[in-house]
Amino acid sequence: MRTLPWEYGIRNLGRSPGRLALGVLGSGLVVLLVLAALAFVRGMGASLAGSGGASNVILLGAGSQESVERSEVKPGVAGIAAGSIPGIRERSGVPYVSPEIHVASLVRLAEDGDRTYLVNFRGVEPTAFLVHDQVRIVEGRAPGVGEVLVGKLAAVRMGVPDERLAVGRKIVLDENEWTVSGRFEAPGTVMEAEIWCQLSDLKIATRHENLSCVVLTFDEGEDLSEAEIFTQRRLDLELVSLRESDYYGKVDAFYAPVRAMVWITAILVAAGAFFGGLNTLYAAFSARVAELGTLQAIGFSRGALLASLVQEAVLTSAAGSLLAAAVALLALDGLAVRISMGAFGLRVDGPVMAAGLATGLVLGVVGTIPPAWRCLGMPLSGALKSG
Amino acid sequence: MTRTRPASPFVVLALCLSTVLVTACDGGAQPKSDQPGPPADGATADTLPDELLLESAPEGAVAVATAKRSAQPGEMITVRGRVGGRKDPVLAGRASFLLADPDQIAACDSRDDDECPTPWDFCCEPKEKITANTITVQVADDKGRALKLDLGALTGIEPGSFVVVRGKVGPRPDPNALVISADAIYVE
Repeated sequence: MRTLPWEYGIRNLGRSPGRLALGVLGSGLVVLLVLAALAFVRGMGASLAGSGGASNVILLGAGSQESVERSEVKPGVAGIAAGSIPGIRERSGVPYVSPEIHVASLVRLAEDGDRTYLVNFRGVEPTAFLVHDQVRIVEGRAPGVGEVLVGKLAAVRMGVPDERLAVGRKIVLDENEWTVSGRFEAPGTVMEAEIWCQLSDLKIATRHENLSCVVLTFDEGEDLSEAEIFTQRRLDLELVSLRESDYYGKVDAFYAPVRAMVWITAILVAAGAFFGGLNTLYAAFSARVAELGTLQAIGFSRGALLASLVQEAVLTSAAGSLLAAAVALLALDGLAVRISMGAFGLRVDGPVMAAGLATGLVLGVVGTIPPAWRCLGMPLSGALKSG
Repeated sequence: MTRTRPASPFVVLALCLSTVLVTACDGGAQPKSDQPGPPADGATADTLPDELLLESAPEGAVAVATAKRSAQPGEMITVRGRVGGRKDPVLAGRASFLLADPDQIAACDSRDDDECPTPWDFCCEPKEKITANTITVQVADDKGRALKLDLGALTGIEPGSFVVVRGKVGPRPDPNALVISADAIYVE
């Protein structure tokens, strides 16, 4: 098949700079939408997947596998577990066992009047920093009595500027002022949107007699089923054990409808933009029917013309995709998003980029064929007369 | 004079796309989920003791509730019950299961109109009642650790099975904790 020169398609793109710009912008917006949806889904999934330590097991109250906030674990379980379960990691005689209370509570900012914010609190002991090794204090220090350690995304979770939770600021929980003693980061985990405090403080403030959970870390190579054996041997404690990664996997499944809604919305908007683009291309190709007829008359096949039209559209959509990719990398990657369970960062990584760019290229091909088919399907005499 | 040909726009475009992909692949910290997977759980499997499974039920079996009330640490006891008390009463990969008293707690399949897919979890009963009428049975090594094997596949014990177990009562830190180290099991 004799094809049109590559340069022919390039020159055609330059014939109408305004139309080219609109085409690039339109395809760029569609691809940006796809990238944003993918980044949301990837970010949410990554924060939940990253929250569970590979060697961690979480002991919860029986029947509370779905939600640690509803779980009730007797206060002595941490000590019993440390003494009974073989294979728990130790450092300098300290077992990696973290008793915790998880509570979602309303707080006020000291200088903010009566406005309240919903925050996820975690009451911990110092062993929490051994068990949750993703956590790093980046400013200040661990909380003392009446103090809190604030996660990097906690301000996003609350919907306030970051400086409102700076070290030294105060928050009000249960009519008591708590001072921010430090800030921590835990990249790619839900913990980064939490506020941590001393376990004993949170017990008193929230009137919790029991713990929410006990998190254990096993030594590498040890059998994590020993935790399950423990829960079976001590039926009196009414516990279940889950790998921490499995627990967050269940939470991830809970948010599947949210992700589905994000996808459906993105697809609907992209479909609208796609059909709008089709309309524009119909008009653009209709204006070139005489030109296409002339090219057929001098010996170029319909296939060659189709290939040239697809070339133009793919170049346009590829340019739009590159623009969208640049915007996504600069503006979306790491952008914090608030949801009911906390906050997470959008994630624009390799697979997201590949899918976004592929979408742009497919748009270029698929979007060209219907209008091109219609224009090229006209009889030659009719096409030549239309000019 | 030789005329040089400019680079094909297609090549330029492909280079741009590749640059974007490489940039994206390089960014961001590796989440925990991308790190090496969890440690291998345990070592090689143990073998089932030859004399564990019986051809007929041992004599003198008592109900689970009776055992829970009166069994003393160290004594030999024979108990009959139904494998259950949780959705997954038989622990995967370990020789440990829960045994419940079917006369004290009602399974969901005892009701005509109940189509519960896991009747052995006795989910219609209060949690405290299930705990009070359930014990733990293990096939242990000489160190007291439950053997690492698939008990269900090797013995036919499955959720809902009726079994008679003979073994030694382990320490009882609480009246609701009763563990029997079985040396003989009969599956009805």
